[in-house]
Amino acid sequence: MLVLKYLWWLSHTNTGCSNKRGFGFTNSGCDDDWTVVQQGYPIVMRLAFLWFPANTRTSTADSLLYHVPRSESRMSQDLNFFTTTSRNSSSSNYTNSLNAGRSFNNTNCFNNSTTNNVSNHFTVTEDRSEILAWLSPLEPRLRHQNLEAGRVDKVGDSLLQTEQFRSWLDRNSQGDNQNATIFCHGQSGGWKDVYLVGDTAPKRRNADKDFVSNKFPLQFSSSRYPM
Amino acid sequence: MLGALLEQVVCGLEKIPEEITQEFVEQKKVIGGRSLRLDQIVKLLVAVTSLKPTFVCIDAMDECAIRDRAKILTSLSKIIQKSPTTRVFLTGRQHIRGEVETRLPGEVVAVSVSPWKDDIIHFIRKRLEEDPKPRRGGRKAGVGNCKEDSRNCLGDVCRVACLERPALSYSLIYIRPDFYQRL
Repeated sequence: MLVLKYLWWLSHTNTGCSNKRGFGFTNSGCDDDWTVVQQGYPIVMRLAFLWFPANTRTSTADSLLYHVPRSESRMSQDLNFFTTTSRNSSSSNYTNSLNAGRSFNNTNCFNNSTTNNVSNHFTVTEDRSEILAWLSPLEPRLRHQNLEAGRVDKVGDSLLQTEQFRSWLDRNSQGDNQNATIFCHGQSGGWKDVYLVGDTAPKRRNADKDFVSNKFPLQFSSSRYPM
Repeated sequence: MLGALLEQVVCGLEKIPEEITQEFVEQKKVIGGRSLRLDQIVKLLVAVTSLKPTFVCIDAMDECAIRDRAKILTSLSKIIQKSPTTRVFLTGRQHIRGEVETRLPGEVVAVSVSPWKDDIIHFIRKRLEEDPKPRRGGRKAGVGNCKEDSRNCLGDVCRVACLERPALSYSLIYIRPDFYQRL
């Protein structure tokens, strides 16, 4: 509005005041304002017309040509970035998972622990279980667990206190094969399997330093399963 | 069975060793896949047991077929020789003791295992405590009012039952009718 008033004043001063009758109007006095307005109106409109494109150019066009497109372009760029990123990430996931899937063709990749995708985890886990199943379909640990569950506490601990067992357990493992094997023999039904399961007792009670400090994986198998 | 041993050893490791993954890939190339041979299992067991001290426990060796038992003992011998931190715990009946001592390297520690009297007493007490239908005076008898002479009696009674069936199901425990009167 200030600009319009300024333009009106400008046109008024330029036309009405200086050369009021110079426009060909014979009326004078009270007609001046109207004349000025009428003469000034096209100027204002023209200026306004000129102003609007300029305004359009500066603001609307800017907003249209720059802001909106820029924002759109930014959005699109962002979207592109996002999509490319997600695409890249998804593709990287995909490639990683593929790599992980192919990891068994490339053992270096398999042993590389930098892959931190969830899909990789699943892949590795699945492959791990696949390898374990490939190594042996038998599950002797089930029998071990059943025996261990049925075993009464402290039953079999007597074996752990025998001198033979202690010598076998405390054997110096510096390359010699002396006392590397202990053979518990007895009659059928002599609780040999229970004493064998009871062998894990030091591990559970944390009583034996060897079992605890070195975290020996006490492995168990049974020949009662099909060979 | 040695494959099951290998699987258990590998299962205890955080990462599957590279030798096994390579072998897995190689065997997968064969149409339909292929399982490991005995020598390959032994080789991998040696490689894996060299990583950590390992105990190998095998129950009831006497129940193996003779040919399989020879293979197993020979394989264990190789593992012990190449992986000195590995120790083997075997159980079986007396008649295979000579075979075990012959095939395995070094001196084999032999222990005669029979149910120790204290174990039997402890086992019976525990089962009596868990008995859903205790007989008259059963709980009192099982908890620890046994004297030394009655302990002997208890051991004799239960030894018969345990030798009949090795399973530790208390439904199979045979208790004489005069069992509680002796306590």
